[in-house]
Amino acid sequence: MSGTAAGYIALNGDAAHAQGAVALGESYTSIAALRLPRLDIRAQEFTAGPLPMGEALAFDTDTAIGMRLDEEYGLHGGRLRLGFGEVPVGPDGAEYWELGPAGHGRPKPIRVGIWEGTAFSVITLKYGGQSTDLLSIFDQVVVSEHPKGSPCCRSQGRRRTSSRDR
Amino acid sequence: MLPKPGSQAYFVEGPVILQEVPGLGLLDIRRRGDRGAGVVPRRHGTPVDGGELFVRNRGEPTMSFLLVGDTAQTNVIPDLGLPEDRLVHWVSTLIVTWSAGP
Repeated sequence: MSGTAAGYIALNGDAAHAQGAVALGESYTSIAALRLPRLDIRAQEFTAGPLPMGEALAFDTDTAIGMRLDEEYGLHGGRLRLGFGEVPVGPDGAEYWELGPAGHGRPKPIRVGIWEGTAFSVITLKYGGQSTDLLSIFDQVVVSEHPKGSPCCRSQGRRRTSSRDR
Repeated sequence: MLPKPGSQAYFVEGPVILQEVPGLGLLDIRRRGDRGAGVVPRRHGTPVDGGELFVRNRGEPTMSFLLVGDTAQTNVIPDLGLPEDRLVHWVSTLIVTWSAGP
């Protein structure tokens, strides 16, 4: 059972603390959007959480169908995994299409970039484009794991960002 | 994660921390004044240990709350079907703070 107080490290390194009369959960996520002027991106959203979160979100059928992670790079002391799938049909039956070269509609591709450290991960999504676009996005930021983190997410004796700091 | 020096990148929203509290609901925690945190009502909220408490939506399917402390704003989105007295007790005892990173 978790305690009634919890510490958090936000995606940008800020710290938050919560306490109350009831037990709080074990894990959390932190989300932020960055403007990337050099890539002409107004708001690129990143989500940080425990290590398995990135892959779990990528393969969640609410994110994409047919997801494949097919590229991997070393970056900022972790690994950057890139993949792609297709935007799923919405629960209301809505489909999101783009026009193919022959003028016919086709499922819109969605690309994912997952940075994985030793205890947490960061994921970002991009609709359409190429995998090199994701490399450019991750080239606009510096990802590092915070010295404070959760005992539950401790790895190799170190404590990491975006996990509980009790 | 921070913008790379020289990249001209900057945060436009957040960060927000999302914490699911088992059996109760979701905490959406942001620095007070964050652009995505929503407008704090001009009227006074109910004084609680953690600051001022506002009911953001009352009624179906459930009510939600905004807790405004000195440094943090927290949206509390309860699970459906929670007894109101339990919900109010939980929210009114909550204290949330936010501090800038190194």
